[in-house]
Amino acid sequence: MPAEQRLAVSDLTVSYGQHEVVHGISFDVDRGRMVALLGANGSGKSTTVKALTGVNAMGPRTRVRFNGTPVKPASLTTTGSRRLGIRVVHQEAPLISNMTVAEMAALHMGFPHAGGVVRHGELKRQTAQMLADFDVDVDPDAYCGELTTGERALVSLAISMAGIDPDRALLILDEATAALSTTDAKRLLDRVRNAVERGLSVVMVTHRLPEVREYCDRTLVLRDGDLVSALERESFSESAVIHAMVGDEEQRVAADARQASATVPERSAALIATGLQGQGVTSASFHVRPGEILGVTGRAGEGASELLRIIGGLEPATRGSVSVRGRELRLRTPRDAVSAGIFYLSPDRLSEGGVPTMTVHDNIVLPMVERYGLARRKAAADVAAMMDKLSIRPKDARTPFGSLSGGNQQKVLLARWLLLQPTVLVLDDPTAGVDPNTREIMFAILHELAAAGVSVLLRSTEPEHLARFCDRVIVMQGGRDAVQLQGAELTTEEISRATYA
Amino acid sequence: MRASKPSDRGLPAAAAESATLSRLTGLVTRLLQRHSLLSLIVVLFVVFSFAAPGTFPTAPNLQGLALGQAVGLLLAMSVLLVTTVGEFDLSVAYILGLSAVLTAKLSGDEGLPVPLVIVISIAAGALIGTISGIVVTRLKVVSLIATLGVGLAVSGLTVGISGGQTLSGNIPQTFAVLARTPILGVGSAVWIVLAIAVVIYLMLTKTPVGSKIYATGGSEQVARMVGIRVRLLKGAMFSLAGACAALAGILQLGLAGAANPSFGSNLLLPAFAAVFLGSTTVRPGFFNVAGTLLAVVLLAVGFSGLSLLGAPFWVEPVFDGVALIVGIVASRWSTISSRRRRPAPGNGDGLASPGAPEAGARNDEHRSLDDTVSGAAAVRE
Repeated sequence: MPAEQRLAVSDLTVSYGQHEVVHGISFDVDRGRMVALLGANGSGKSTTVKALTGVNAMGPRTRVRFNGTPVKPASLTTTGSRRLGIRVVHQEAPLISNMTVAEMAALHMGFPHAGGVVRHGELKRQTAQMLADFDVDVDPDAYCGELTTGERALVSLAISMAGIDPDRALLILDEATAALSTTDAKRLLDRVRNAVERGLSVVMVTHRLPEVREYCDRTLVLRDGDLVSALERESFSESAVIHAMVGDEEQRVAADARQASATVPERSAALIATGLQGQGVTSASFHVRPGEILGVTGRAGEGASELLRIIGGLEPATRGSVSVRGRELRLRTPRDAVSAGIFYLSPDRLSEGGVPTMTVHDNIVLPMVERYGLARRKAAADVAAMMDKLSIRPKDARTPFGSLSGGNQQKVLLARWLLLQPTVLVLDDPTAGVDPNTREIMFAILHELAAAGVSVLLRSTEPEHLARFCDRVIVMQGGRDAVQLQGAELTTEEISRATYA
Repeated sequence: MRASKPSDRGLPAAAAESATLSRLTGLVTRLLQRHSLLSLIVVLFVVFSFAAPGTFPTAPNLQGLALGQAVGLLLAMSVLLVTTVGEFDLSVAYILGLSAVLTAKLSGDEGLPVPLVIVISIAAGALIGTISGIVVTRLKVVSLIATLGVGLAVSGLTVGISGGQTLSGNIPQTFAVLARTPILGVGSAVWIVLAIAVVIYLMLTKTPVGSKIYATGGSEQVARMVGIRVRLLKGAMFSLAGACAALAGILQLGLAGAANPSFGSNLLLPAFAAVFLGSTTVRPGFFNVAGTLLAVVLLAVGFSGLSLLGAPFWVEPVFDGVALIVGIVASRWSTISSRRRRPAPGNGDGLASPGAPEAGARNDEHRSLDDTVSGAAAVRE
């Protein structure tokens, strides 16, 4: 009979060098329970989770019990924690594109072999069983590179739980849903919840509060490395969580309703796209007025993200035209877009956002190094002002970009474009993996920009954000701008309906 | 790092004083880390001066040492130019060989005027570099393979021009004058190379182009997205590297008085070693001019001392190779021992991208140089 308490951690401290970032927190996770671990960017959630998975070392006073048995913190290495039954699913599913699902699974659970020769049939059978256990409909022979984002998440879930009885295991979801659409996230979490019914315990790190409300039994909130709140299911509310996260600091709430610029005639739009065609987009025609925030959404692969990439110049348009302020553009490279005042912010912050090795300062001024030239003091002043405005942490502009938290990286990238004074800002899911308070700050800034006449194209996977922050929303289906919502139709329900219809 | 803090044993009464002391030792530790190669050079210099007082610290030895490194340093600079934008150029050593032979042939056998010959040789080097650049940026061949191909082809041309012979007949004295004229006691080749190194240093660190170069090396896609003309920039660096290598060949001809068609290839690996070793110091984690210069000096001083103490000639490449590996490992080890931390995700691209040397150690390195506040910011959420 498994112990009722799956994990008990007391006095957990984690330090980077001499700097303690988690200050002696204690919590436990019962058998068959889902616990959410929430906090602003930089509050210590990931650090805590990484201590459990052996990536970070625990402090000397920390005590850990797993399934009722004391565990030496020193034995909690990455392999040690895995052997114990602690499994983890990350935001980026670590699958190797040119390997099949079965081969990938074998890397985790071992290749079945006879005398050193791999038994492929057996491997395939085992993998199929493993996928079936989690109700994942993917061919074991499919290459990982061919899977959709949603499938990748499900496959990593199945693989992470390979070869372990759910009733002995602790599963950690480390922002596993951050890159997923609402539907894919639901598919993933439903399967996790099923395993929880069979005794699995889960610790879930997320920024999406609706998920917490729907799936979690308990909510722990971290702030600056301390455990500041533990809410049972009954007492959970979004406002209670956000208050716990940000403390008594001023909460920023972006203005909701917007009906700006509706009077500006369509002909004087800042950006007009006609019959646009390209990678993943078959035909899109739309316009954005000056000062308007146009939402773009759709299921993964239906063309929303792809449309923004074309506008940003990352993928060439094969047909159709784009004009900015009445001037027809030749959009073939990001350089073309940038010189027309169209700035694109990718959801992939590390590989399409900043240069990880370069400092925050260098990353911010990168597109305008020529404008500043040798005027270093002017550049430093502008960067400092922008970092202050967006409350980027740490305040030191010499910090390497790669060492910032996700939300701060996003703010740095936004700062870069703001300094350049955009005509059209193209933002692809800018709040993915960003904590609610930072999200509000970002949206408040977008509204400020819009009020100053900047046009914004905003893609989001979360209908409630689109309903709150946009003037109009277009929903992409099959590579076309199929539905346009505005005014009274612009509600969370309508957007969801149009997206998943 | 922590082991070197005597302040840990400070008296409790003198707490404030000990804090100052600890800050001071911290500064020294940081300086040592940032200038590890420089410290090592000083140590080696002192050791060899005591071990071989009659030979090592003498003017003729040091002058010879400097002159002997001029060509190698210039070749390392051309390797550096291309590695900073995230590519490799293996062909530079063969361009050096070709340039030496071409220069000897045109000026000796054909009797063309020296300035014209110099222009032709450098233009030829730049042209070959441009070809590599086009193959890499337009035909999208991985630079290691592209420049391997170009280098092989060039080595064939070199043999063709020279007929496989060492060319030494009728070479104008001008080349020797160009390379060997003593200025402040050191041969002019050294000054020429140092001047070029300074120009490259200024370009990389003080101009907008330098930012673009490091951005391209750090992340080509990001550079592209902010509007940098990545292909043009990379192509230009290949061309410049070719021109530098060609000039190195001309200086080599001036120093040696003859052009050996197989000369350049021996310099290839040491040049790469210097560039990589140099990326551990001065501006750790980035390929940089000062670090490369220090690495060249370190390797030269090390071997010179050893040979004066009786080491045979074949010890040089052994010393270079071991020094490279020890240097890279030591710079990583010194940061890992100071804090137990795995490389952050997204940095595991090691060899695949030369623009990011030592992917794993790199961030830690910065962090240990920064103060503790930004160390805290290293927490990834």
